[in-house]
Amino acid sequence: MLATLARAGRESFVALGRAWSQIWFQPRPTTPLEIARIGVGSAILFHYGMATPFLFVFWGDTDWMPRDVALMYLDGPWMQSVFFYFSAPWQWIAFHIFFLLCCAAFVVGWRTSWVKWIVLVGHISYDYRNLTLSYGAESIAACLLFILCLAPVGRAMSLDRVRAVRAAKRANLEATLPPYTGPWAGACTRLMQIQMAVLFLYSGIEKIRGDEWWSGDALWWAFTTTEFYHDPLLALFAQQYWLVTVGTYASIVIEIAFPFLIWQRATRPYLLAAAIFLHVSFAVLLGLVYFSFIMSMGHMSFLRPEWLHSLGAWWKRKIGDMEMIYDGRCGFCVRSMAWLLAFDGLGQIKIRDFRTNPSPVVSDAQLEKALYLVLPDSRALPGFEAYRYVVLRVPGLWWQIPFFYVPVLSRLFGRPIYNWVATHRSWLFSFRWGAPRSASSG
Amino acid sequence: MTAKQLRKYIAYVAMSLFVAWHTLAMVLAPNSSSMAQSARVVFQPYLSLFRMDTTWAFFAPSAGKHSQFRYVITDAEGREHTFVPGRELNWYLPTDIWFKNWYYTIIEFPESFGDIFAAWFCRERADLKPVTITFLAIQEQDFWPEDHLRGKHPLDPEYVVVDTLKQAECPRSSQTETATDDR
Repeated sequence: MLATLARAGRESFVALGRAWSQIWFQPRPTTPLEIARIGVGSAILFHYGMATPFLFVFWGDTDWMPRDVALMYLDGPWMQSVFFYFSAPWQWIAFHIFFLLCCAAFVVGWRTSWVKWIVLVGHISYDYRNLTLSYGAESIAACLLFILCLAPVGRAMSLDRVRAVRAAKRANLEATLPPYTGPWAGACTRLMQIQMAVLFLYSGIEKIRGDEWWSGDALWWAFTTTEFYHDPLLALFAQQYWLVTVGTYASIVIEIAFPFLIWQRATRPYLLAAAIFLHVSFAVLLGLVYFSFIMSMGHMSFLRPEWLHSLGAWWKRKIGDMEMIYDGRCGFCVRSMAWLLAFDGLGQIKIRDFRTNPSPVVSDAQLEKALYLVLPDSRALPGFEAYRYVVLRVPGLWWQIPFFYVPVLSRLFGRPIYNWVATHRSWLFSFRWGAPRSASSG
Repeated sequence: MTAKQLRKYIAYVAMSLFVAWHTLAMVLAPNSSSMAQSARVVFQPYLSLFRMDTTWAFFAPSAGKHSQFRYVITDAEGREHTFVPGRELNWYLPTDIWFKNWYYTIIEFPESFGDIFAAWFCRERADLKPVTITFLAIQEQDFWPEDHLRGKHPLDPEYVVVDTLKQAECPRSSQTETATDDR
């Protein structure tokens, strides 16, 4: 009897352990968290970048919020701000610049493992230095940032990833680095999901405590306030008041339903779409752009990896094959290719070294002068045009679009610059990196 | 159990404890029940340190009826100039929320912040040669769809209550600065 009970207990414990691991520690990619990192980081960078002219007005000791008054708003020693330890104006300026640089690094994923902590400390410091400026968005940003700090972010969609892939490709251009997946990434994704679900649940519960929400008038009152006054919308609502009632109840239904229905495979897309719609409405109609954007980025944690994978596969199919033909004997060309391919996270670009594997489409004589891009319809684009084509079609290279697509100017300067670099590639290689290690000529 | 397995096991237990702790913290932070409040003794430092201590009560329990901040400058000749600083802000920029939150701070604590703001606004309007400044809160009252259909606005005089928050002398510097500039 006892033995049976012990066995049943052991089996239950094992089953519980398995369920716990399945909920928390399934190996997952960091991609949804990386989207949240880029989004939250961009919002914070913009937010505090805009704060630059008001640094001393809002967060300094001499203007609107003297230190002793700011301290009165804090409750206990755990609410800390680095600004409380500054005394000279240059310290404010230096920290602000350093913080903005770290935000930019966080967005692009450069040295992510430590800059993320600076972003978190900075954000909390600004918030606690002047709590009168604070509203819900600051708390959400802090909560999401903290989870991002715990998570192994920077392993995808980042310069850190580009550097790692480039290091592998420098040894062998055909080398690939498998995408990162890990149980801790899964746990942190789950934490962010729970954060968003808890937030919606409490937000919904707080609303149903108010008479205006029960009576279906809340939307009307929100838009009549001086802060969110919206004349065209009020004109519509005044004539079609049922829209107010529907909108008010829909907001509550979405917020209450979200934490319960977001977990199921079948209902997740609808709840996610509804939540994003709600926030887009807040941004457009109430002007709460920062708040809505940060919230939407939190919702990105609900993106299923397979959705992102399907999206990537669809993009690859839509763009079609691209083959870059380069000179494998030219060290500069190989290194350039390693850089370029490191940004090609979807693996859209195929490569061919014409020295070892001649192209049936482009002659060796042409390839001596420039690299070529061959498309499925056998079109061959040389040099600058090849880069220009690729930059628009490889998401990891989109940041270069402004350089390659300025009307007239890009081609006017781009082509001669490319031709000059191509002609002087062996000289450039020896100048920058010393003699090629394996190349026999440039 | 090998050393590697033991390390893996310890890491698993540590990660499990942490996610359980953090989840509890997230759930407790906005909860105002007495049970949650008693658990706060343990969680408060963690919640405060990482800025997680919040209620998530957006537009709740009440969505409407705010106050608009205005100030009136009286110049040397006794003329009054009324300003609505919130109107000069851009809805879509972060400065909008910062400044509006600041104006709410004056509305809420006119005695604590009145002098700081008096100096600020008098300096900003130094060209008027300000002598005194008066802070006003325009408190919104009920405004129904039929009012809107009659062409009214929520801030029309019949729909608001005007509350004088504080009157202050403008600092001498804001007057003399202008005098010097004028010369």
